[in-house]
Amino acid sequence: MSAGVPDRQRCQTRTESERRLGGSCGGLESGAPSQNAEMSRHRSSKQEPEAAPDAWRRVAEIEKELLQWPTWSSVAAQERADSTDELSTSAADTVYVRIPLGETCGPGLEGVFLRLNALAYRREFNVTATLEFPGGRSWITIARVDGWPSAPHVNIRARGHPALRRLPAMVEGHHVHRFADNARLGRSAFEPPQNLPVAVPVNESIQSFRDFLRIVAKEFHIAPELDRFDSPDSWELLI
Amino acid sequence: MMSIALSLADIAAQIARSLVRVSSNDQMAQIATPLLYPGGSMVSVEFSRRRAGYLVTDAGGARREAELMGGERSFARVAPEIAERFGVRFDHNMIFDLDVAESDLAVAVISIANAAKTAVETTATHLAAGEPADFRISLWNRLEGLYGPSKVTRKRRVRGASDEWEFDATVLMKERLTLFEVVAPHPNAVNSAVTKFLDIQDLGDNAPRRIAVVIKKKDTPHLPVLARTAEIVPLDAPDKVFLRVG
Repeated sequence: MSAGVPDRQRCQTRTESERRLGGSCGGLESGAPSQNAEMSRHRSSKQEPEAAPDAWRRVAEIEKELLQWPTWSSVAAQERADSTDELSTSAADTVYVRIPLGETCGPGLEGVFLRLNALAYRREFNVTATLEFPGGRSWITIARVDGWPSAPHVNIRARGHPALRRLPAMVEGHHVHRFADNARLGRSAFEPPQNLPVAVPVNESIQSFRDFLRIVAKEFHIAPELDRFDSPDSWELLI
Repeated sequence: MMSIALSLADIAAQIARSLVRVSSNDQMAQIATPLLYPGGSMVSVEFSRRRAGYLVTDAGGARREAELMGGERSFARVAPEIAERFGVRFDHNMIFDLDVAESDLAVAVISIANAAKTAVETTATHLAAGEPADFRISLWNRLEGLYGPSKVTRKRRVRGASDEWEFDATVLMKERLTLFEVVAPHPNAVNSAVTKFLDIQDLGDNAPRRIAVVIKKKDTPHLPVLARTAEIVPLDAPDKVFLRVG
């Protein structure tokens, strides 16, 4: 690994996002729907979808930094089902790393992680970054970036929503499932059966894993030092 | 934008072409099908030549989708049966069919794609409903995040006073071993955990520390009995609690 935990020198002043949010991001236990959403639900007789919790929004929007610099998982260490078939391949083995995040110039964000997931033996193909918030079975994914995806993304839910109709129906190539877009569909958009159904294309060029990390840092509001994080060790062996 | 001058047949042909994406290289070809995973990614299927026919797979896409939802255990359980239902197979990574004749490739692609989509959707449904086995994933993620993967062993067998038992996770810190067992809120789960913990407790002063990780504390029966053999920690306890007990 190329570096230690990034320094926190830039923590001299409150971040722009903090000012915008009007406070720090403490109190992550608050999984309650936003107060505004609650009020609007009472005002309207129409059944509104349950809003995504404010705590998720805060974590998605505040400036964050890496608290540790962990290493990628090894393929062999991962749990797998016993294979009884004659075919048992490693071509689709994945590796991942979970990086705990903290608020820039603030406390750690308990249970908030950046997860990077990649194919162990296929460089720059189906690389995914997710922003995880504690909850559900283990975590709730509140935003996601897909680099070099093997298949297009289809915005089937966006078509029926007035604020999302402008999005492309089909997204080819790198794309990002932003918290704000998916939150328009309510809390259920983050649950496994829907799993962040709204995505937009990444307009910047991504030529390398480092480029991918730059996009992740920008989209997830993570300190730019993230792009110093190494690609999976197993990629080094690939031609 | 489609021209209004086109016949319905022409429009249908255009739509048909836009429903799939095809890419290929020297080794394999890939078809992105109109089936969608939860989240909206098109289900893609790859195929490549083998000595006898073709290998057709989902390239691990279904398992990866499930993994990103935190449902790898559920997926590993449901995928073999679902693959069988669609007349294909599942190794630990991929839904696949082997030695496929060229004339059967289209059916194989349809089968793999539907099996992959169904397996991920079933996993998502299980996750939404709450599947006990996946709570182990939660525990592993928690412990590995707090102590580092090198200090945590998943599903380790440990010798007690009379027998050997498998625990969901162990943490070894400064030569001190701590055993973790996820306990579901029903009597059989509690009885099983008590039996294990009791035998470990009988090792005496040098017995490893024992932690019963309860999924729903208020619904867990026989808590006082469980508490005589292990410390009870709710799965959703704060990090500081898990750091204290490890």
